[in-house]
Amino acid sequence: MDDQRIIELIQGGKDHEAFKALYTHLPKVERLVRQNSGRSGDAKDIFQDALIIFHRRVRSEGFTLTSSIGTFLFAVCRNLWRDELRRRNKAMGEWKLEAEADEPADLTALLAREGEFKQAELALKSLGAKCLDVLLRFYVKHEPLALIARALGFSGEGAAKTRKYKCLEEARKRYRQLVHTTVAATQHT
Amino acid sequence: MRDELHLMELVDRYLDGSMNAEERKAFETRASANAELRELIEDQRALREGATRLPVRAAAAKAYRSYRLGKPGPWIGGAVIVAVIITTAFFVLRGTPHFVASERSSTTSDVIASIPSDQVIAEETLVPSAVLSDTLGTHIAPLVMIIDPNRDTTMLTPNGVLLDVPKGSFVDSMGSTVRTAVRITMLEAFDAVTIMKAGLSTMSGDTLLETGGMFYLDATSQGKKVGIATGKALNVMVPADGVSVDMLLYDGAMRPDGIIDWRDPVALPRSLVPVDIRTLDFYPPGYEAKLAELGQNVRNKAFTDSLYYSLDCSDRSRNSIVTQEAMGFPTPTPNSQADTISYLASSSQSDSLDTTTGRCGVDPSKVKAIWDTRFNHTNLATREFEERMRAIHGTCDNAVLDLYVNNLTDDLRTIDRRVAQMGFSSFSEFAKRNDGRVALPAASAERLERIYAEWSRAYAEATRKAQDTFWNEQRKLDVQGQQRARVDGATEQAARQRLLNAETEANLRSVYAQMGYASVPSWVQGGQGGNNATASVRPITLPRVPRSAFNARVSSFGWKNCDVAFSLAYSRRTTNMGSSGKRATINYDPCVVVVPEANTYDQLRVYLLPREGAGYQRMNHVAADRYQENLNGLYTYDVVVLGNKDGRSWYYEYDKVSGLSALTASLAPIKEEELGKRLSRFERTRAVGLLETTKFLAMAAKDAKRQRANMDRVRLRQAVLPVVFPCGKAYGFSSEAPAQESVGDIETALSPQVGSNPEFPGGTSSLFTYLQRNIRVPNTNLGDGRVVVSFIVNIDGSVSDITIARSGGSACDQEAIRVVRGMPRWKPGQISNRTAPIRYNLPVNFKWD
Repeated sequence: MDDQRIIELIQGGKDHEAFKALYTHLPKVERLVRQNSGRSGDAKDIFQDALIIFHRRVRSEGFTLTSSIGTFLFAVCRNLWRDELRRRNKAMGEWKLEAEADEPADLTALLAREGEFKQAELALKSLGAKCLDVLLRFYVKHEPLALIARALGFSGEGAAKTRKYKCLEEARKRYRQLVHTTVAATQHT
Repeated sequence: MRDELHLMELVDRYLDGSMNAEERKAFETRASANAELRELIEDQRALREGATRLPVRAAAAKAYRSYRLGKPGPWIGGAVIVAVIITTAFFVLRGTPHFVASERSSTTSDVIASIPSDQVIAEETLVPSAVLSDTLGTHIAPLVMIIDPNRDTTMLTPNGVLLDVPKGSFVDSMGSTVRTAVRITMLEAFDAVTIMKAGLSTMSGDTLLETGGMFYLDATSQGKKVGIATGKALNVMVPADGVSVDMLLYDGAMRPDGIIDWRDPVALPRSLVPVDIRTLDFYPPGYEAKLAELGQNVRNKAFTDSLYYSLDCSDRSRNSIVTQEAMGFPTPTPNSQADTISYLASSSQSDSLDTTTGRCGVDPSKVKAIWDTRFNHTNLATREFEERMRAIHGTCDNAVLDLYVNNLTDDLRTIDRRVAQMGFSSFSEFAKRNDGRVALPAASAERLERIYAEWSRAYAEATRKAQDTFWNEQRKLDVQGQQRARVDGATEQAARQRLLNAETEANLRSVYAQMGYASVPSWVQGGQGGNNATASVRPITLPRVPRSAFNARVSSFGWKNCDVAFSLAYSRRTTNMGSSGKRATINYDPCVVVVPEANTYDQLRVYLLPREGAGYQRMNHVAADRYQENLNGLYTYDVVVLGNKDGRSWYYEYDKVSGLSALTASLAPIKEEELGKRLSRFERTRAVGLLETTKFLAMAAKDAKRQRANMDRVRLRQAVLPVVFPCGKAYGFSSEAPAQESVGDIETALSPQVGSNPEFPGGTSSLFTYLQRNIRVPNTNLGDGRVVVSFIVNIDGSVSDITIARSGGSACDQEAIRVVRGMPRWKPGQISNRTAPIRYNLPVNFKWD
């Protein structure tokens, strides 16, 4: 499957098929990770992160493909794995760098808030299914409040709205907790 | 709150780009001046991004599985059970987690220490993903332990989770027990950050959950997954800051989108906090309150214990109350401080009560067996069980207690349910509380079960034996006391008889003299030789006549006054006699001896010893401190007062008293040899008699104390029996006075089955009140005081034909008759629905106290 087809699939909302095709790039990342103190499970994790980052990039305004998707994913994974290793406090000397010449110029900006976004994901995921449902319907599917209220059995739009903000507030509380401890951990090391 | 939400809405609109230029500018200005608002914007931006990413991540994960499906692999990503403990509000564990079971240091560590170190290997390393497919990405370091499944194993994780693996818990895919080493993998997430980082949800539906922690458990043997055998369970003890109610255990299944779905919540037993069992109260409800009400010292646990443990369903000590009361000894005031041995009830008297069923109440021996430090660190040593113990007493069923004690490794709630099924529905309330158990190795439980069985039996046996020994001894002492009282009574009676004989003769002589007869036949010669006849009485000689003939025939010879004179010594009244112009007078005049504080003496007797006569006689006790008798004008008397108080003999004597006099006796303590000396001035028979009486009084005073103590015991036991054995009523225990049980003994010959018994107005209790108010206990009585008065209640309710069916001594008999005669009209009884005269036997027991 060529890169353009994959981009069309993502833009057409067919993430599953696109991702399935993109996993063909995973073994390369696995090799990288294994060679650098990691396990294949770690590779899968960061590869999924990379897929998500790629997905965002495709869906963002003014997207243009500046390199092959495989190159992009590999570059992102390398960055992520380096950060992960740093997080795990491994010596940088073990890091076997491959060519970084083809690294996209905007990668640093793209990954700048990656850590925070992941924490946000975790905070949201820790909420219950219904809370998460409300937030996803509102922020991702952009369903109108009236529809959300009917679908989830709230008394009305107002109730759905209040619930949405309550859930968001709880998510923020948890998010801050996560970010705070992560920062503290970083400072510590 | 509303402001906060409003602000978030504004931020949303800002991030949506739905603000118009003007609004936007104003908002940005506001944000530039407000760090908090900027923070909110960034947080919300991140969360929105996170929300957007979630479905994408799910898609990525799903695609990964599809991608993997095309490849051969040892596993297929199935749902692995993850357990999480969740309640209904969010909270974060603070500080060092400590065990709910605070006894970790004593019990748990013992268990752990007993595991050979080569059995438990904790590796803080990542394990191959082949084992932990569903926990990848949680970034939680798994703990791996390799154990021998053929033994009980207990492990403690760094977070303080106690994992208890009973032997033979694991089965392979074929269902057969795993014998080879088992590798247990455990992941713990007990603080909020770990939980969130692990990507674990802490909500159920739209309800925020308070998680007490999540853990993941998996086990393999020889590289293959193993299951948990049916009927077996691993026990996981999770540390918590406090015991929350309504903890639920959820099973977690990984959904394809990577979110764990918490489902099938099971009520999690509340862990029990063992306390020192000695601080708990296993007494029947109200037991201590009842003792306090009776004025006993409930703080003295040695006392409350010894009393309680000495009771059993068949407590028959009350039967001895009759014997006690019948003794006729004055009884001193209660000494409530009890020694252990004395609170033992008699059970030697066989009765119909079936103690084996235990349905009158829970056997104190069983309670004694468990109320011991041996049962510390078990379910029983908890406040939760203490509450149940109260209810167990209410069931009166030993089987209920047995169930709790014999299933120490079960949750209390499990046993609660079983008890509820036994028909004690109130225990379902306990079951709802969801109380768990105190972790206890099965071997200890078995040992304690045996202890319970053996010791409760041993205690019951020991109690019974001690009761028998004690009450048999008491009965022996009672009999001895009665024998001594009889001997003393006989001594006194003999002395009085001698006096009567002498006095009669003296009276006779006087009458003869006054009537001018020259001589009196000397039929009493010899026997009265020792008397101190004075010179003023001339020796006279009476013809020898058999005494039995004296009364019958003398009058026919014109000497009819002589028999009057003879009875004077009994009637003790001044009497004038006259015949054929001749007159004779025998004077009897009262004498009163006042003994100050007579009631402080345990025993007190006032004797009159006529100087001219033989023997002696006791003065009548007419009032609290007054003794009175009519003195014969022919005699001069010496007064001897014998007392016993504080374990010492007291003595007083007064010489030469005659009628119409009053004196105050001031007693003083006296030693036996001194008393012997004092009495030796009297004629020998008198001295010996009085000395014997002194000894008897000392013994009686002591014995009365013993009996009093027994009486107190019996009364106390009577009072607490209905509390200790709440179901004992069916067997005749009642909170009423025990004596009432003997009331209403209807003579069956005159009262056929059909009909009703005559009834005292107001019933039996009124009858007793009446008797108590009106009976005056005679001061002297030669008998045991147990009188049964028999009378007929006529159709008009009047009482007639009053007779003594059983004599308790003449004085008591007379008093009983007097009181019965004065009774108000009864409600007559009926025979075959027709009012009829019915004979009624009323027992009246006299007590001296």
